[in-house]
Amino acid sequence: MSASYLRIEGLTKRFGASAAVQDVNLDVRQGEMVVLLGPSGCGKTTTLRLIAGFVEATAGRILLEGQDYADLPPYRREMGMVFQSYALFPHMTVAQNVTFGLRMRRLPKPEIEQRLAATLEMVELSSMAERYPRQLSGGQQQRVALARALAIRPKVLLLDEPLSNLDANLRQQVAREIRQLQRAAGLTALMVTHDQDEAMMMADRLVVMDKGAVQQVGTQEELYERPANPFVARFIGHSNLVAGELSGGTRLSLPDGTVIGLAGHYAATGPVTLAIRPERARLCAPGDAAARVTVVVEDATYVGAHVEYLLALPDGTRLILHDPTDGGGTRRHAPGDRAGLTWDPASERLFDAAGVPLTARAAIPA
Amino acid sequence: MSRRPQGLTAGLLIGPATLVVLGALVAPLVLLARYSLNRYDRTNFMVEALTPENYLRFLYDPFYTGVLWTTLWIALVTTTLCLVLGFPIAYRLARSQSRWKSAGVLLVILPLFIGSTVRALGWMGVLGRGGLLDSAAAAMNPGSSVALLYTPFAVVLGILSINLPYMVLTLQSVIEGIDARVEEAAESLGAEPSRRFLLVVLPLALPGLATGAVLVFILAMNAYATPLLLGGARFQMMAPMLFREYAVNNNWPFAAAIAFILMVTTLTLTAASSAFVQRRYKAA
Repeated sequence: MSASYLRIEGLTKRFGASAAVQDVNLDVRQGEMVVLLGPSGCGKTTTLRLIAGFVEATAGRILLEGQDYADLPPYRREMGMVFQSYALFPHMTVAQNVTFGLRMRRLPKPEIEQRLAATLEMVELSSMAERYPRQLSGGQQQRVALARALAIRPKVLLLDEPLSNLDANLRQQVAREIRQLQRAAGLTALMVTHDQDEAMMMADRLVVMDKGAVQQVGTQEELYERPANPFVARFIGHSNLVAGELSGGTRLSLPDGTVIGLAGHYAATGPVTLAIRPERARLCAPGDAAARVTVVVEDATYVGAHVEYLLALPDGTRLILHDPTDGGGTRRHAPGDRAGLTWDPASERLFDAAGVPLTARAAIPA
Repeated sequence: MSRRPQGLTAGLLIGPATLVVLGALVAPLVLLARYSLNRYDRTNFMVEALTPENYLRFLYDPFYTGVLWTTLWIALVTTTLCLVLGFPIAYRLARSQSRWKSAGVLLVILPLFIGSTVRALGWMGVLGRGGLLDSAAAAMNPGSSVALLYTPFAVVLGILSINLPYMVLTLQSVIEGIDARVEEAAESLGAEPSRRFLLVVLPLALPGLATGAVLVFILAMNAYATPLLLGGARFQMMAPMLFREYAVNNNWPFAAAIAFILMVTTLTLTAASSAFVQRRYKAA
């Protein structure tokens, strides 16, 4: 892998006393697509706008090929931006929109013409060059916005929720198209989204943010299999979180006295949070030796690929479990049944009170 | 629910307004048009007739056409100044996200609470002999005096101070209608502030600029108290002259003709400018 192309160091933005973005550090390699993911208000869009230059940073550096961009105005940053609302120039045709950045650079006319033709062909809008944005469908407007940003051959392509204004059935297709264009052009891209599926589909790496701070940076697999804290465990995919007191290395005691027999043996003691993914746990008979805890089935819904069970721990905590269907017997447990709940050591995640993952010293066979 | 046809309901709803317009606007105008064709007589004041002589008198007398020209250029100068001074204020207000924004808007609206006559009197105190500016000049440079009252400058200043809020409020709502992201898009594509303004903001604000300009132009063309109080006896604009013909000289036919000439001039220029802007907007 080549060295860092875009480096963000200690990027911070405060509005008054509150920090919208708090000490964000990130290295992006050339040609990489990095997706900023998080719930609304987590600071992902502000981070993107800081990089674009629309918002002035309180602290931190934005280094592109080693040059500090933090003090450059947006119009000197050579970053192509695709806005959520597309922000096309309504008084200009598609061709005028796409060539706007080229005209700002005072490129010679033949080159503008040639780039216009090539870019429109890339987004399959060659026949729409003389139309106005209001005469285009949402998907077409989105492609004009993309073409306009690509035409300037940006050093970094910034995408702010580019798919959120599209119909659900168009979203996947456009996501793939953007990804193909970005790969084909070898473009370095940063995208912001709140949609996990979109992020998983498009990213080389993801940045999970919450409350203005980066929670974890990694590939899809790293985030899913090794979440850095309970927030990431719950936000990426889904995790059942159970808080309790760890004692004796393997006993998780809930406040009501229920004891869960953990799959791993841990050195730590004290308050911890257990995270178990719905598809990584199984139900068994209540008295089964494998049962780590006994639960009551509250609801069982057949949804095709799996049966979704809503389970209750003795203290009332609700858990979700996905039992894959196999074409044979479906709902093996009916609402009202008592059942044993179990999981493999590899599926168990335990976080200490500070949210730091704990490592099991040894696996306890179920 | 009644099944009354929609057309009837709509007719009932706009009915009262239509009656008010017919009674309060169209009827007096028709009456005025009729008066303007009558003849003036020193003893009988108004004599029934059908003559164009009032209009001809206005058009062939350099004094009256001169007043029309003065009115026109004062209106054009104040409209231009309103555009140039109002746009930056309106832009700042429209794009402001500060919690002082509503205070700013209030500051713009506040002068509208004071009538134009009172404000003209205020300007007299500032500009007149022995007024604020005059005393200040005398204090700094003894023996000198600044006589700004009863000049076209005073009139332009007075009308500008009255019309500027209308322009700012009109432009503010128009600029708020322009997506701020569109400006950011222009910036990210390499447009520095001047070209961002000329190529994106200005064309998109053009219909609003035209609306604001028409509004303050009409107000300036019809200004009465300001030219009367700040322009002095020798400075003539259409509205004060019209009133003098009507009330002092009791020449109703000629006053009616002046009213129509003022109205037609204003409407023609207004229509021409909106047609021009509309064509530009479509072409852009």
